[in-house]
Amino acid sequence: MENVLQTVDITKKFAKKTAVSSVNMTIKKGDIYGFIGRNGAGKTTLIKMLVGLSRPTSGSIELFGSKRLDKARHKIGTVIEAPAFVPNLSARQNMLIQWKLLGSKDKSIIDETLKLVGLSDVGRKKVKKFSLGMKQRLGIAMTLMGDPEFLILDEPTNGLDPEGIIEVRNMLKRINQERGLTILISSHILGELSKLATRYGIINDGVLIDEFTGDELETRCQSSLIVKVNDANRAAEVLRSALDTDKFSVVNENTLEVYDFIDTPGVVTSALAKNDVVVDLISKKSVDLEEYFMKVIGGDKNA
Amino acid sequence: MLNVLKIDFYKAFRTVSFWVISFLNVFSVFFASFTQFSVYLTALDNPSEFSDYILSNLAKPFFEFFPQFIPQCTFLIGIFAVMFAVSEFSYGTIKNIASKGYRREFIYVSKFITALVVAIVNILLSFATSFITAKVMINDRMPGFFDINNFWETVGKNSLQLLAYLSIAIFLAMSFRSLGSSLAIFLAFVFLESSAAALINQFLKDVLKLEFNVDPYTIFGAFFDPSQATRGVIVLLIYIAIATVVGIYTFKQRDIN
Repeated sequence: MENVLQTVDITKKFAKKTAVSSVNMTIKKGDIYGFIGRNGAGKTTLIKMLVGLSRPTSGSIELFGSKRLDKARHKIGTVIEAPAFVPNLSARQNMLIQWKLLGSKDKSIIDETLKLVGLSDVGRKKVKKFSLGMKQRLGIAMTLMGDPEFLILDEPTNGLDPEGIIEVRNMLKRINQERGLTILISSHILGELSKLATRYGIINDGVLIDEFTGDELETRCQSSLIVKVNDANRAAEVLRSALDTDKFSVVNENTLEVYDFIDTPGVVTSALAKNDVVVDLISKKSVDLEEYFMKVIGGDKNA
Repeated sequence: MLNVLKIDFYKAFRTVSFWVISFLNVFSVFFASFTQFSVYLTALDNPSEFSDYILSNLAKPFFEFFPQFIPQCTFLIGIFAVMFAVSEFSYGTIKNIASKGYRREFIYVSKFITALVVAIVNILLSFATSFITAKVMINDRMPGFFDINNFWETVGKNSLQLLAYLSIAIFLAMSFRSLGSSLAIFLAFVFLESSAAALINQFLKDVLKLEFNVDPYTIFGAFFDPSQATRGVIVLLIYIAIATVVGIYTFKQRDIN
């Protein structure tokens, strides 16, 4: 599949700090790429280099297979850190500015895009009087102007209410599927990101430490069964002899973690009961993106 | 480039500062014109030795009188230029433009051209205000009052000085990116330029024993000597070129946050 973005050893150094170190990132056409990292990990610095707001110290960027970045960046829609508007103008006037900037021909896309994000009825209300959620919607609307082929969104759901988050998620999914739009999203809401992204990249201290697909994440976040019994050692013997599995670990004298039979916990309960092991509780434990992220970066710091 | 210019025009003419500054300009030009022409009319209506002195020595024809408003315009347009350019950074809208792949030099020059167009609009408004006031108040009561004489030369010189101040204003705004510091330095430059030149002249004369005058090499004093107009033009063009080239270079090198 065609690469929309490829960075080769891209590095950004400030006076005393290396903010981004030799990042090799590839995003393919149609990907929804979830970009994850703690505050100060280098996400925004990398995004700024991609869109031309910051110059890399070394390394190279290819957009749409081309190194002529100025032209390629015309096909990108971006919201970086926070959507930016002229506050004393209305949503439509701000959209008109973006429309002029893109040199578009068809003015009707302004109203269509405002309708798409649910801002068609705000009239002449100045943007400075908008709520944070409305500003986010307008920011997304501005990125969608001019039929971009690649969206780069930094925290697009910041300030949105739960309903708004779902709307934005569905909208991004829809445009990804309908228009084949490639999307790079950095977000702190990892649960939300996991419902949207098809590929992920984790950055820590400026280094891209992991890249994986949604399927790979599922494998890596393999679930387990937590089984609470009266005698864990006896239960372990039963699992080995009756169910012929050693995919488990004894957590303590009353608890086991079983990595097998995840979709058929009744088999485990039944085998233990038949062998006089009292099962007090059996529950499914699954690792989500958040826990996986914490495991990968090796800490409990905020994402 | 044209797209960037279009949006800069769109934004500039919708800012509150444009309307406030234009209003201040028009109002002050009207007030000054009205006061000045009232003095002429009083002198005309009350013939005396004193009024003859006023009319023959102090009363300037309209096209000599009007260009004195251009430096006043410079001060207000300079403030507008700083506010307009800095607002792109404070609102973050500069990111919307730069991330679309437009070249930084285009973005910079566009701000400069926009400030220049706003200046032209303001000068035209001031001219119209003063001219209408003169037509209504003086009309044909003072023979030769509307003779053009060397109007274009004076306007040309004043406009070049305005351009030089604007290049400094845009340079400061795009370099400092904060309203407080850019505006403070611009105002200090405009108001203290002549004092600084006087101090330097004093220093050269008293300490270094040099008979050298720096005034012709400042923006305000570039045309002090009417016989050295070419030198004045060169001095101002150097100011404009240096401020713009250094401004563009700095803007290209620095990240946009």
